[in-house]
Amino acid sequence: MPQQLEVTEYDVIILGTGFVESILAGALARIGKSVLHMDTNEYYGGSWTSFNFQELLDWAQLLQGCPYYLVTICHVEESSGNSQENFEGKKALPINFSKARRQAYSTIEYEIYGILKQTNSTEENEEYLHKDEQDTSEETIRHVSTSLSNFERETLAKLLKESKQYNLDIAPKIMPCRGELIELLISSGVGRYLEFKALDKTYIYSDQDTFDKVPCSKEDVFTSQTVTLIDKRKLMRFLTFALDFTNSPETFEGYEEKPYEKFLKEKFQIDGKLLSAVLYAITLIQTKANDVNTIQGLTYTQRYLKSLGRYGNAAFLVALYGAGSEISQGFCRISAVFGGIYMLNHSIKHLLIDKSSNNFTGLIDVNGQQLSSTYLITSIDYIPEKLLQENEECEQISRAIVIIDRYIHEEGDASLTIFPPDSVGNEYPIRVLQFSEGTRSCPEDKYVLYMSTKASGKSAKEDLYKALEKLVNISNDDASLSSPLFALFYRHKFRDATLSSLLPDNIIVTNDSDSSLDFETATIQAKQLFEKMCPNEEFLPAVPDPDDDDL
Amino acid sequence: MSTTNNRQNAQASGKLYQFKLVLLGESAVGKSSLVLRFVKDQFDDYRESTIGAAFLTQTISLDDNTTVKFEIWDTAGQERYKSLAPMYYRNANCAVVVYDITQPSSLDKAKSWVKELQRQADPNIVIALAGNKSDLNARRAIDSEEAQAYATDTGLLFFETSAKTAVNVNELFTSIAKKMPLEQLAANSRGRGSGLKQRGVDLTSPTPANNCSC
Repeated sequence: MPQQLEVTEYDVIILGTGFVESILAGALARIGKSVLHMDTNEYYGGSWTSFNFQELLDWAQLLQGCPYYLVTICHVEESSGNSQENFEGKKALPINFSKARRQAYSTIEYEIYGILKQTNSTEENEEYLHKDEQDTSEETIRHVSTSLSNFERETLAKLLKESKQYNLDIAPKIMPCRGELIELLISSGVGRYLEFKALDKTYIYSDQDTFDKVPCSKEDVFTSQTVTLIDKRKLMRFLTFALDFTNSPETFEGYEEKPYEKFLKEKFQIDGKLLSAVLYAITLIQTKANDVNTIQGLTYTQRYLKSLGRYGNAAFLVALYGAGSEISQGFCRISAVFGGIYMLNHSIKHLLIDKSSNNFTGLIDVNGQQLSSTYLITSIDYIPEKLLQENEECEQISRAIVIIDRYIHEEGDASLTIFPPDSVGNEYPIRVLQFSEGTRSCPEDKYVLYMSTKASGKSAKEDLYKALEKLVNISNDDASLSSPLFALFYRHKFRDATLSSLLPDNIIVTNDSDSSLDFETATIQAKQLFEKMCPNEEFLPAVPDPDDDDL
Repeated sequence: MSTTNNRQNAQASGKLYQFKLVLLGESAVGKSSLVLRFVKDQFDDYRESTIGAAFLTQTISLDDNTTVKFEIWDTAGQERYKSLAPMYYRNANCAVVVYDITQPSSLDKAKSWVKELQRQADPNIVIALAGNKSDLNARRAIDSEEAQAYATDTGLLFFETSAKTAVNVNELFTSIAKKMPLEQLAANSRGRGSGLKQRGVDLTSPTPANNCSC
């Protein structure tokens, strides 16, 4: 039964419930704008969402090409008729959401690994699955398992059995303990809806096949076993300077635009392993060392140092249950609390553009209902092809989601591991987040590795596989490493639609998630878009405590 | 029972249990009105849909040593087009599913919300069914017996309530509090509503680094 909306005119219609759209939905409803927030997906979070195991597998298969049994969730909505029809004197530009989504991802490959150390017999597991009446699981096993060995089938059955205990982020991110997002979560009250764990361990891969724990805080530097006394002195001197670098401009005078690496070497004699650690594990640069100048580098280093000590020894926090999805839901809730209307699982057919002014005037949804608004905010997936200038040069990010049976390095809720450029044949730094049951990413006896790097080779798997081999027992027989159960490799585009000059002024497009480890650039984008739309309004002011006030 | 006194008692009492309670039900059955009656002892005939409250809290003293604090989450209208966020159900310890005794279809809707809870929420969630607007008995469209039978079959608490006249409102929430497996929850700290405090890092309470700030 199609759902018709009672109200058809809004200040703002928002398409997509990704991170940036959701913050804007919250901010706009909060200041009294009427907001209609829609998503073609049946879930929150858009390309920032998290999936349980079954959903992740479905998603991967969907991107590889829609398998027969998934047609119901495929949202086949190829527009009928002319690509550019007239609608009441306006241009009606067709939207092809599912095509746009599919085009954003490439080189999707997944692998299921057999477990050799058996605890349960095959029969026992299959029996359990039948009892569970999980039709979809059985369907999946039947579909996927034709090419699988018995051991692999067994792994798949186990993963599907525990499917709901997984919250797997498709764009995993963490947040610095001091930064734009955390301040916004605190000031807006959205943080009260969420739960967090600290990420307080960082490791860096070094050439002798070892991982060194990176000393981050001054305390760490003192107690570190891996840093020599000389290096400790250098590092202390540097960290003390970097924390307040703006107070001693004479130290970096002449280096501002020069590579950060050069500055560190020449002014602080930081070199070798220590240099790698400062650049990739503390400053967390995501590109080649030469691409970061001294001012940028110092700014990132300082942000990291300032993040320490606020919540224990952690520089980062992890939001539980899948950060992108949960945080988006939190801002959507604020929006709803202030009157925002929510409609998921709802397709949009056309955007309407006024022929004379070339402005957006409204849209036509799957029911043929016309909905109009002064502004449209949308993720790039809902932009009609005619309004997009496809930028072939756009950045791509290679990612992997790997489920393993034992922690790497040490036990803990969350950790970060860095492979500096060229350490495993990689062009750019590879970052690996390890999340545990403590972050509600997986069941108790499993761990999840999220790997990411800027794309450089032919595929996501090619970009990340050598690093994965150093972490888990994937191709050699090193029983001391943890065993993988499942790995999904994929690449996604970072599409920057703000570059398109074809867009009407009153269509505001949000970017995809970028290659950074945190939500900072996305939070800043949300804030800037809000300030552009509503220059004199406050961005997500605190919600009054209803326990104190009369409603 | 005076809720104001309960709030004060909470300070002095022995054990405080905090629970997340979610409200569900069709639009306009009086979900927010029930909460407003329970939390603030107010009622507004012309109240439009819920605006401005992220969640409300209210405490109930079960005895001198036991206080239950409910953190009550309203749907904020997200249920209207079936777009309730998974976050809403997450770690909910109890739920009140509301229908309107004058609207024949609203009990069916309530039943589908119960199914949704059984699918999405914690299996141990305590669910209460509330047939609201009992003050409009003359326009009744749903028999008490029918709803009671359904509640008994499904293992739900059941009350006919009136947010307008306050009938059975405190009773509803008190019964939920009494049905919560307090000892069990205290022992098992998984989930934010189970224990006294939220798990993990509290954003508003910075915790300084272990020692040595040098």
